[in-house]
Amino acid sequence: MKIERAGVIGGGIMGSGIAALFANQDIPVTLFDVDLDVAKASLEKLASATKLPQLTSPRRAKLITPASANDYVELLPACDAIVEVVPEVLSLKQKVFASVDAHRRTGSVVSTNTSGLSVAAMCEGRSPDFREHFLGTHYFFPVRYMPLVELIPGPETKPEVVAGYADFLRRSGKKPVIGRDTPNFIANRIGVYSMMKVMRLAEKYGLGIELVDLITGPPLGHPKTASYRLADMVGLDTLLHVTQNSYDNCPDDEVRDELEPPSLLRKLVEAGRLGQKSGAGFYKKVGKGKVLVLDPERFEYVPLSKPRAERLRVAKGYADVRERLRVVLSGGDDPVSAFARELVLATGAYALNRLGEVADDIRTIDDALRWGFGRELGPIEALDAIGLERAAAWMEDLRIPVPEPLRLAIASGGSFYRDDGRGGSAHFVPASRTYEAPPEDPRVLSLARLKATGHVVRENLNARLIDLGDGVLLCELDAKMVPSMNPVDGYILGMLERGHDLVESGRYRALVIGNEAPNFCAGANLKAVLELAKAGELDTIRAMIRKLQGLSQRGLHAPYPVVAAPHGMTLGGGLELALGAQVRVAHSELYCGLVEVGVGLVPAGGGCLRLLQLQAARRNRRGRPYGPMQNALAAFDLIGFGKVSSSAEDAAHKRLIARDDVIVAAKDELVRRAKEVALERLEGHEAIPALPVHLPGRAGYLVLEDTIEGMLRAGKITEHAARIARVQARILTGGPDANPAFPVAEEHVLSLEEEGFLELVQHPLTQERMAHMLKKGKPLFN
Amino acid sequence: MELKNVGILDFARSPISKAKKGKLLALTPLEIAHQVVTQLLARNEGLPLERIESVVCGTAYPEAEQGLNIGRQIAIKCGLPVSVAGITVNQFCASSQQAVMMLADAFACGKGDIGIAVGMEHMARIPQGGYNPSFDPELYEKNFYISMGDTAEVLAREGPISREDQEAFAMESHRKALAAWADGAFAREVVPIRLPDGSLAERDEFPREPDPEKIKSLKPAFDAQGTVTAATSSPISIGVGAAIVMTEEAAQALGVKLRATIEGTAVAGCDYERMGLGPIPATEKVLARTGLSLGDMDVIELNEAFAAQSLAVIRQGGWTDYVDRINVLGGALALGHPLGMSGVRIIGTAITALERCGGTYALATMCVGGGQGASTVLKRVGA
Repeated sequence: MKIERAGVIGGGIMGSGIAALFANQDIPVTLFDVDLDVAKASLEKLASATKLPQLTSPRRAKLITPASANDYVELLPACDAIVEVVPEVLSLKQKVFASVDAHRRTGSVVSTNTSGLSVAAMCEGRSPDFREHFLGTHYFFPVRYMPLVELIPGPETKPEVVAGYADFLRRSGKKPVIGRDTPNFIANRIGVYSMMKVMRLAEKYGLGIELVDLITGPPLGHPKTASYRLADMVGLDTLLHVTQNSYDNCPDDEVRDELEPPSLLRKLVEAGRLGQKSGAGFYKKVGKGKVLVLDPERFEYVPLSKPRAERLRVAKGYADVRERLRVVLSGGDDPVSAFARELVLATGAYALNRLGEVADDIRTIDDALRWGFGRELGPIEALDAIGLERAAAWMEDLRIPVPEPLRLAIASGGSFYRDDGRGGSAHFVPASRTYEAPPEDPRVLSLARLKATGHVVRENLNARLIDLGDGVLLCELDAKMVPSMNPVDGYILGMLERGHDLVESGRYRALVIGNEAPNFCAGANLKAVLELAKAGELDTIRAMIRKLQGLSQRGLHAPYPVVAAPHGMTLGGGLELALGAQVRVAHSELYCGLVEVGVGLVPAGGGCLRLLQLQAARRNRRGRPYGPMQNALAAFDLIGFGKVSSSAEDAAHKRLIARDDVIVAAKDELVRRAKEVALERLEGHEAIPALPVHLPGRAGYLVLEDTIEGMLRAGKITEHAARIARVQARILTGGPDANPAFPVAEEHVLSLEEEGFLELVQHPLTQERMAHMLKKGKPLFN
Repeated sequence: MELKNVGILDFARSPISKAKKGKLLALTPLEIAHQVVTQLLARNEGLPLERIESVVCGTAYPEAEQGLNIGRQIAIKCGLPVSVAGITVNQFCASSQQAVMMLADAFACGKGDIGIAVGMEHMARIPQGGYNPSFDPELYEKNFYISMGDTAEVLAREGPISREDQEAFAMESHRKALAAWADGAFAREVVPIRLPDGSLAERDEFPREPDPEKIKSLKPAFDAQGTVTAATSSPISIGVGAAIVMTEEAAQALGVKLRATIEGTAVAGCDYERMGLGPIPATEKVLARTGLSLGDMDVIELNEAFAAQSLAVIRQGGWTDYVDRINVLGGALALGHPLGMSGVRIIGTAITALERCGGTYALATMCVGGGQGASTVLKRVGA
C-alpha cells in the first residue's frame, strides 16, 4: 500500500499524534477539524510540544496542512489513507463516514481510530468500496512512543487492505496486531479487567494506593506508572467510559461482575477529579514536584506515606523479570504476595478465556499487552514464568476455574511458549495442541536467530562477533550484567579490535557495530573508571582512552566499510563508538549525546574531535563553512551542557551524528539496513583521509573562559562546573597553540582529550559526581 | 574656513521591543529600518532626495543581518536614489550618536548638506558579542574585555551605591516612561511598525508599573555577591531610530524648519573597567567647547545602561543639582537599550523633551563599552 498523502479527521490529542506519525514518515497530511481555526490551533500545539513531542522534529509540522470539514470536497480525494479520530460517539462517527464516503477517492483506505466501538456498526450503510477499504486502527497514547496499533478488520474488509496497512505501520516503526471486532479489542479489554481487578483486590487485601502502585510497577514487569498513576494519566473519565463499555457489551464474560466500575472511580469522576488533566485524581500534584495521594475513606488528599515492602526490595535485586515475578508471588500469606498472586492469575485466566474471541492466538494477546501497556511480560507469558502446574494449583486455591488452554498446555508441553531452536519462540496452539513459530520476516536480520544457528565467530563476556553473511561481520555489544545499558569496557573494545583485525586480514569485507538490546550503549563502564581513578591507576585509564581513540580512528579511516547502528540511549562512550564509524544507520528514536559533564568528565574517546569535525562539515545556505569560532562554540554548547537528542533527526540537526546518516523507523530492520549500507559502500570504497580541523586557539578560548568566569561570578555554576568547562574549552578551541589560520591534526585534539580526561578524573569532586551517578542514577551538580 | 550650522530636521524611531518574545522579533533589523526611514521621509515630504549625501548607520555588532554595510542596504531598500552613499559605523553603544556626529562634522565643513543617521540593534538576531568573538590574550590579561555588568558592579562597589538606591532609580525611570506614554509624549517620536501578520507594533514594550517586592527578590545578575540585578540593568532589546541631519542653510533654502541645532559634540576615553563614567569626561569636553555649563542644560538625556552607572555619573560628575532635568521621559532602564540605536534615540528624545518644556539647551550623553563617553549639546530652534 502506497500512501502519498494522508488525511486525519479530528485534531485532538490522538488525531494530531496520528498526523505526526504520517509526517514523521515524510507523508504530507491534511488535518481536518470542525473549522480551520481549531485545526490550526492543534497544529500549533503539535509543533511547539517540548515534552514527549509527537513530531521527530518541529520542522515536520510544515508537512501538515490544517483544513476544515468544509474542505472535504476539495481535499479528501487526494488522500490515500484517511483516519477518522473524532470523539467516541457512534452517531458522530457514522455522520463523518457518510460524508467521507461521498468525497473519498475509490480505493483509498479509511480507518476509524476507536478504543472499542464496533467497527461493523460504523460502516453500516456505506458504499461497497468503502466497506472493502475500511478498518479499525486503534493507536495508543502517546502515538510516537507506544508501539502498539490494533488493526480491526470489518466484516467486508479486503485482506490485502489489512496486510497493506500492517506493512505500512511496521515500516513506520509501529507494532501492529490484528484483533477482532469485539468490545475494547485486545489490549484494553484485558487491561481494563486487570485495572478493575487491581482496585477490587486493593480493597480486599487492605492495601493503600501507593503500595498497590509499588507492587504493580516494575516488580510485576509493568511500567513505573503502575496502576493508579496510569489511571490518572489516561484520565479517569476515559477509564470509566472504557470500563463501562466492557461491562455493558460483554454480558457473557465469566467474570462480568468484576468489570463493573468500582464506586470510588465513579465518585472521583462525579467530583470532576479526572486525573492529570484536571490536576487531581488518585494523586494530586501540588506545587513543583510535590504530590499528595487520595485517602479513599476521607475522600481527601494526604501527604505520601512512602510505604516499603521487604518482598519488593528483594525482588528489585533481580534483573530478569521472570525471577522478579516469582519472588513477588511466592510469599505465602504476605498480603503483598497474596494480592499480586491473585492479580496475575486472574488476569492470566481472563486473557486465556478470551482466546478465539478477541484474537486468534496467545502471542497476539501477549504482544498487545506488552506493546500497548509497556509491560515486560504479557499475561499469558507470566503464567509460563510461574510454571504452569503451579499456576493451575494457585488458581484452584483462589477458586479461579482453570481455563481449558492451560490444562491443554500442561498436558502437551508444560508451557505456552518454547524455544524454536532458531533464536525465537513457538507458541502453543490449543486447538491442534502443537507449537507454532511465526513466519520469518525477510526484512529482519535477527541476531538472535544468527546466534542460535551457529553464526557466532567469537564471543566474550560482553560482546561477540557474528557473521551476517555476504562478508559482513557484526560486533555485538551485549553486556551480560547490564543488558539494558551495555557499558563500554575492555571486553567490548577487545572484541571490536578483533573484528577490525578479521576484516583487515581479508576474512570479511565490512564491519557493523550494533545490537538488539533496548539501548545501543549508554556510556563507558563508570564503575571501572572510578575504581581505577581512586586506586591512582592512571596508566590503565590512559591505556583505555588510547584504545577507544585508536578504535575510533581505525573505524573512521578504515580501508573497508565500517557502519554503526545506534538506537535508543547512545550516550558518552556509546556515541563515541558510533562516531568511530564512517556512517550510521540509526533508529529514528535515537537519544544520543556526549553527556560526560554529568559525571565531571570530558569525552576522551574521540568524541570532542568527532563533534568538531561534524560542526566543521556544516555549511550555510550559500554553501560556506561557518568558521572556527562558531564551530567551537557549537561543539561547546553540545558538550558543555551534555545535550541529548530527542530523535535521530534532531541528532542530525544538532550534528551529534552526520547530516547524511541513514535513519530507519523500524527498529527490527536496523541490522539488515546496516548490513546493506555496508555492502553498498564496498564498491570503490576509499579510506577517508585524516580530517584536520580549524580551531580558534587562545583568542577563542579566552572568550569561553570569560563566559565561564562570568557565570561563576554570577553564581550560576559551581567552581567544579567551571573547572570542567575550562577543560572542555581548552580541548574544543584546540589548546593554546592553535591558530585559526592553520588546521589542527586529529591526533592533537585526541591528546588534548586525554590530557583533559586525566586531569579531571583525579579530582575528588569529579569522583563524587561519578559515585553519585552510580548510586542514584542521576547527575550531581557539585 | 567658516563652519556651517547643522541641526536635526526630524527624528523617528520604532517602538522598542523585547528581544525575548518581543513583537519585532520576526522582522530583520533592515525591515524595521526600512519602515522607520520611509515614514520619517514621508512626513518630511518634498525633501530633495538626490541631495542626500549618505545614510550612516550605527550598530554595535555590524555583522550578519546588521553587516554587509547595512547603511547602504537601508539606502537602497528605502528606494533612495543610487547616488546616495551608505556607511556603517561602529562605536558600540555610541554608534548612532557617532553617525550623527559624522554627518554634522562633514556638513559643517561644507561637505554635503542633507543626510540620514540611523541607529539599530536587533539583540535577538545578533547576540551581544557577535557570532565570532575572539579576544587578544594581552588585552584579556588587562581585563579589557570586562563585561558591562561587571563594570556596573565596580561602580556600585566603589560608590558605594546601594542596591536600594539603584532600585529606586530604576523604578523612577519606569514611572516617568509610563507617564510620558500616558501623556502622549512619544506621539511624534515613535512610528508604528507593521508586523508580518499585518498587525502593528506601536508601543515600547518594557515600561511597566514597578513591583518593589519582586524587584527586591531578584538575584544579582552578574555577581552573586553584588547588587546589580536584571531590574537595575537596561534590558536586551530590539529597535531602530533615524534622524535627518541638515545644514541650517539648506533648511532655509528649502523652506523647512530644523527642530534643533547641534551646538557641539565630544567623545572621550576613560578607564574601561569603569566605562560607565564615560559621560563625565565627554560632557566636560563638550561644555568647554560650547562655552556652556551643565546648569544651562534644560534637558539632560543620560543613557541608563545601568542604574549604578547612571548614579555614579550623577554623583561623581556633580550632577546632583540637576536630577530633575535628567531623563524626564524615562531612560533606557525603562524604555530599553538596543545598543546601536540608543545614540540617535537619546538625541531624538532630548529634542522631544526640550520641545515639551520649551527650554533652550539639551545634553545627550552616554557611556560606551571599552571605556568611552559621547556627548552632544543641542539647541532648540526658535528658543
